[in-house]
Amino acid sequence: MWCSVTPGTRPRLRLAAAAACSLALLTGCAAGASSEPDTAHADRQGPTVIGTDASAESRVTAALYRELLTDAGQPVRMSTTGYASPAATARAVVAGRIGLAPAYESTLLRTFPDGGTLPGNMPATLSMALPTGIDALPPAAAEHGVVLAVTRATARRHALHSLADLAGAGRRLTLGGSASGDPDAPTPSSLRKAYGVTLSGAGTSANADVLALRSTDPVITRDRLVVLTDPECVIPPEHVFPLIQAPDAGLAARKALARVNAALTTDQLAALASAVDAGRSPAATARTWLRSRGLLG
Amino acid sequence: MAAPQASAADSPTTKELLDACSWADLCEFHATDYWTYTGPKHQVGSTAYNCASQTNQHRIDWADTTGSTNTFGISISAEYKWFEVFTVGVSTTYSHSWEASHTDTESNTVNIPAGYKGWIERGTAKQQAKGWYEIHFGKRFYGHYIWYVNNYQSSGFNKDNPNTGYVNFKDAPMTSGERAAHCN
Repeated sequence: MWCSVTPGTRPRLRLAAAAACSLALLTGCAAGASSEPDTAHADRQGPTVIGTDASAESRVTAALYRELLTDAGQPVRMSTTGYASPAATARAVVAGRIGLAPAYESTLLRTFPDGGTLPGNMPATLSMALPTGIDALPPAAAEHGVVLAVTRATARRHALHSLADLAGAGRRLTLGGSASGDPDAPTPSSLRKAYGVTLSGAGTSANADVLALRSTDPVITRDRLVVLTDPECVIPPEHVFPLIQAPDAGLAARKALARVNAALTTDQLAALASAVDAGRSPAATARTWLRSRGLLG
Repeated sequence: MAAPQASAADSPTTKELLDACSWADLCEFHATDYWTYTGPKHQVGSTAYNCASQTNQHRIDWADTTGSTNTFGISISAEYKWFEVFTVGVSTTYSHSWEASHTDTESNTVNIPAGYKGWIERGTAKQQAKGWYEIHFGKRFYGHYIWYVNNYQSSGFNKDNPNTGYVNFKDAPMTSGERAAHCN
C-alpha cells in the first residue's frame, strides 16, 4: 500500500530552461540551451557515475544498479566520492556531480522541500520536488524506513498486530529503539493523535516495549521481532528508488533497473546489507543475488 | 562550465520536438504542478425574451465545448502522440483524466418575468498542469540524443470534478431596442 505524503501547500516549483541546463552539467553529460528558451538538450557522454552513502544498504543497492546497467550494455563507474548521507547523495545527483544513486522517498522530499504535495500520491509528489532533467524511477518493494516492532512475547501478551492494537495494551508501554531519533520515527504524540495510544518515551533504549528500528535492522530477524502494521500511515514511506539524471535514463537503462523492483523486498535488502556488513563486497553480493534470481541476462 | 549553445539553425522548434514524440525512443511528460480552477464566465445558448404580460417558462438549449490549450499555442488533438503522453503523464501522476475537447449539451427551463430577457452563464470546471517533456532519440536529433521541452502548461476541462464549475440563470429588463427587435 502507498502511505500518504504529508499534506500541505508549498511554494510551487518554477522551472527554467537555464536551470535545466546547469543541472545537467554532470560528469559524463553535457547540456545546453537552444535559442528557444523552452527547449534544452542534454547528452550522456561517458559512463553513468553511481554514488552512494556509507551505509551497507546504499552500497549494495548501488551495486545492484551497476550490475543491471552493465548487463544492459550501459557503461558505468562508481563515484570515488563517499557521500555522508542519502540526502547528500541525492543533492549530488541533482547538482550533476553524479548520474545515479539509490534514494529514499521521504528523505528526498525532506531534502528538496519546495515542491507541491499531493497526499496519497508519492510519484506525483516526487515529480513536483525534482527539477527538470532529474527522474525518480519506479521504486522497489524494499523500504529503508522506520518500523515499530515488539518482541513476540509482548505481541502475544497484548494481542498486537498493528499500531492501533497498542490502545488495548492495558498498561502504558514505553517507546524506544535505535531509530527513535530518526526524522521518520513517530513520537508518542503523533501516535496518540493517529491511534489514540499513550506511550512513554524511553529515548533510544533497546529495552523499551515498542522499538523504533530501521526496517533493514538485522535485529528484527535475529530476535524474531513482530513489526506492527501502520494502517494510518503515521510513518512516512521510504521505498528505495533510482534517482537518476535523465541523460542516463534511456529506455534500456529504465528496463534494466526496473527488473529488480519486485524481487527487492525489505527482507531481501536487509539480508543483502547484512552480507555487506559482514565483510562481503557489495559487487559480489549484488551479482550473486541477481544471478540467483535470474535477473541478469 | 559554460553550457554549449546551439544556433537557431540547428535547434528544433518546440513543435518539432513535441511531434517527435511519435517516433522517438522514449517520450515522457513529467508533471511538476497541477491545479484546478473555474474558467471565465461566459454565456451559453441564446438569450430568451419574454414579451408576454406574465412570467413565462422558456427552454434554452445549449452546447458548450471546452478545448485543451497550451502556453505554446500549439493546436491539440487527441491523435497527437505528445498529447497522449501528456494525458498519460498527468493521469499517472495525478490520477486525473484529460480530454483534448469536451462538449456539454443541456436543456434548461428558466422562468423569465414579463418584459425581461433571460440567459445562462457558465463558468467551466477546468484543470491545469505544468511540467516538462523528456525525449530520448536513438540517433542524434539536431545534434543531440536527449531534448527537453520545458515549461509546458496546458489547461482543459476538469472531467473528474465537473461540479466545481457553475451554471447560473440570469435575467434583466429588456431595453427598448430589444423589445422592438423581439416583441413585434
